Amino acid sequence: MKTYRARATGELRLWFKPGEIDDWMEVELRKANLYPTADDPVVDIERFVDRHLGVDLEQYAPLKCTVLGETRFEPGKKPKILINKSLTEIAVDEEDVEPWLRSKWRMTMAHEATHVLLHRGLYPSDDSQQMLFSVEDDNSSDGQNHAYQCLEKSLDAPGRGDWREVQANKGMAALLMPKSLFLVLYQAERERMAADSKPLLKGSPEASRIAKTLGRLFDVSVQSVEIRIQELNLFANPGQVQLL
Amino acid sequence: MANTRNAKTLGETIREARTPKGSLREFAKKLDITPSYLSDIENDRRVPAEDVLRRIADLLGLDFDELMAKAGRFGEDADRYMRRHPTAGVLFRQLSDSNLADDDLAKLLKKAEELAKKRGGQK
Repeated sequence: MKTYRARATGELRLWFKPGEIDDWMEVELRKANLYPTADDPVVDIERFVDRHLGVDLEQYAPLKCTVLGETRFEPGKKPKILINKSLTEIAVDEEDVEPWLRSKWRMTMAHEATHVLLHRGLYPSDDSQQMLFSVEDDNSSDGQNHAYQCLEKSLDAPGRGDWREVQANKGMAALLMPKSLFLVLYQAERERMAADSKPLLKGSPEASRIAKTLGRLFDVSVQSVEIRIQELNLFANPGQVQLL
Repeated sequence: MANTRNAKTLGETIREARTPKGSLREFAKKLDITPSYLSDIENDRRVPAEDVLRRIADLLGLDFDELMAKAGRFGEDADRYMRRHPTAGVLFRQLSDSNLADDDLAKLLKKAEELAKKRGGQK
């Protein structure tokens, strides 16, 4: 992890080497004794946040309906993760929950967890410390307390937006689909489809099928699996196909 | 004797004790309350009824009297006692007006425990 200064604003930012967030999340899952297996690849994200992360978790927070989750950093207090009450109620408590709703809840929880892991150091842990970085934060009312809000659109557009949100989405994918296990299950699925020798093209029916299967296995959205495949460079580009 | 120095709120005390023992939903099920209600308790949005507080104390190995104090409740028995003995209410108001420190309160509590012992544990 390094810092750099954005040319346009002069703001200091965090920069991670390719694969660094993946490695970090794998270490955290192992430290928490929650690294999933091929037989049971679903990360127990609630347990990870509740017991490992050292935060206050509020799963029934009265947040605005457009806000799925929020992470708060306040001096002298543990970071606080809030999950929208309405989301938890429909995604976890209802009987016969739709899988996509449960995935959304899990992804929100993992997204907020990653803010804590990656961005906790951006804020002073008590009043006597200065902020390590100058952070523009719309939610800060007094210059000391800071909150990240995860909106519906943040999860839907993981490659865009505020750099911290982009990093949190990468971390979310790395937490819920740990790289080593993801590659194992991806390969197994490719072999099962008897297509391991053929390049996988983005948007192809094969890609869609494999994303659906892996999404079900990891209990995440199909879209997030497609992004994961892309970020791990598992899609062939059209030029490669023509050469083959 | 209750630890009057503990500055944690009721919700914080319960959450800290509950977290190592299980998830919010598991514990809510044991208490026979909804996870949403337990979450409100842990975040100090609602104060549980005395019987719920007693079950929480039993399951988490917490001091019931301390939880009641944090909840700002005297309890049904204490309420009845205060109605029967108005002097008890006067005593409490005097304590409150005097704004005694924790150490002084601990001394008074010890004295009360000694008196209760002499009377054979009578309430």
